[in-house]
Amino acid sequence: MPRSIAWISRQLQEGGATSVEVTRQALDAIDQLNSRLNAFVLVDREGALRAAEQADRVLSSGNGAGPLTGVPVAIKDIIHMDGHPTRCGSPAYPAEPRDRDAAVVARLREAGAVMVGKTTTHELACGVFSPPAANPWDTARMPGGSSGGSGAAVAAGVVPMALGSDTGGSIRIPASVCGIAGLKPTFGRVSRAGVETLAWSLDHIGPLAATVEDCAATLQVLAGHDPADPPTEPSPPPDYTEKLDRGVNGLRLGVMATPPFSPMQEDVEQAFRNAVEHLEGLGAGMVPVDIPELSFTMAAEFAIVACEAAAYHRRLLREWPERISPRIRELFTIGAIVPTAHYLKALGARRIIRAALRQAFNRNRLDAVVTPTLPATAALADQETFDYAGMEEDVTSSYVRTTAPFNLSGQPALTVPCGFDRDGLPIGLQIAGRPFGEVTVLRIGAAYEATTTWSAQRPPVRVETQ
Amino acid sequence: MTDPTPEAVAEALSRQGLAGPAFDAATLAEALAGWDKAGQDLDRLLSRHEMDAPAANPTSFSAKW
Repeated sequence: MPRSIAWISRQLQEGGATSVEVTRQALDAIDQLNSRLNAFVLVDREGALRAAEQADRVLSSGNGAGPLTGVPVAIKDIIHMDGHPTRCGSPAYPAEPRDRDAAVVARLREAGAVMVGKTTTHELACGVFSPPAANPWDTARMPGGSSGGSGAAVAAGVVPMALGSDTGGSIRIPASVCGIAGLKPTFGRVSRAGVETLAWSLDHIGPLAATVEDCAATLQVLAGHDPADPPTEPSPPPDYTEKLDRGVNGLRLGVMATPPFSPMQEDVEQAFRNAVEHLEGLGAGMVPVDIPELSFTMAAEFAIVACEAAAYHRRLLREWPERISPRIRELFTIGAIVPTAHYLKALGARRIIRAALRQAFNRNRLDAVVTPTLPATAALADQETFDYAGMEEDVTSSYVRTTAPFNLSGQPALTVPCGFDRDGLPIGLQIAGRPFGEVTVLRIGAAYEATTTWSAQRPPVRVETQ
Repeated sequence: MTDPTPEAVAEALSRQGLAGPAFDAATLAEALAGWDKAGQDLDRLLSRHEMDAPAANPTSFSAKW
């Protein structure tokens, strides 16, 4: 397992290391690995060391240190950081520095976290490959996307946590194919102020982290109302860490393995089946659930993304279209010219999908549902399709169809490692809960993680730890 | 778009101020055929659930149940 926030924090608080030391280690790791992983697009050596010195002062005062104080973290490069540019993986974005932090960066800073740099994103956060970033398990393969640099950085052990965004799976996809934990919180749980938009009604911000506990500790810092992002929930967030060790005994979990979660690769299917049996062995009641309405996920998701992105990027599309790569330009252009009725139909479908999920949870008295996070493991960097026993499907659709249902519904969804395929590539288990039910989702993920060894496996390209 | 011919697409592009070699109406017309199919799928789903929430406004979204 890569060094976790909890592990580093213990070292710092018990005097086993200083923040300057662990920050230097992270910066050295970037120097050592970034030529192979391309996980970082910007390294803030001076700013990080300054923040680490400040954190060391707080730590040595014995006053006011929290779980993230002095811990090095990274930020996806669609999230503004004061004094640095936000390039969004796109030549269309300026090199001029931003003059303020995004709300999530400000919250991390306030909690004493040390930001070492910004991570590679798929262009405009709209894709699942994140070139030129590579997967630490096999550098010929993609690290997923769009938060691919964050996934690679955490999996390699450079930092224990990196922020990502998730519009159709962009936290869970890289977390799954890189073999780490990743949490998309409930829509409205975390502010998006100061984050570049892909689709207003689907965008979420959350952590990719070494462990489920780290996801909980990060969410504790990020969660809360922000008037600058009106959909954020006004009621205060609960304690996300207090129930992590409660286990799953007595919980009822829906098992979703029908479309859109199938078809899937044989090894993924086996790993998912094993995970379901494991949770049952831990005392959870497992209930098969089939929601036919979820088969309309892709039609709704792509229409909403295309139309909202076309509206957000209208000036870029009109004035500098050649600065957008052809596939994304085609999606945005279609979003600009399809009739408004198409968008409204997609929003209507979304309501139906959300209602169907709610009914399934209530009818079956479910605490959460489990699914394969993705139907396939990491694709090669130039791979275009997967073959599911004769059925060909493009890589993007393949990944998004299992994650996007919970963007449409807004429910919290966590991925944790649950196995490896025959090529040694990680497989993820997705756990989705009731709206604002992160406590339960994290509890299930922590119970699974604590009783399996998947999260402890490390990729070949990694920081060596003592 | 009910008629995704290159001519209709070119007209729609022009209405949106999208011009130049970055926008190929023929390619977009081909892509839009797939979107028509997706639109029909959405119609099918909406029709099936018409009685469930006839007055529900789809433009307001909250994750809360």
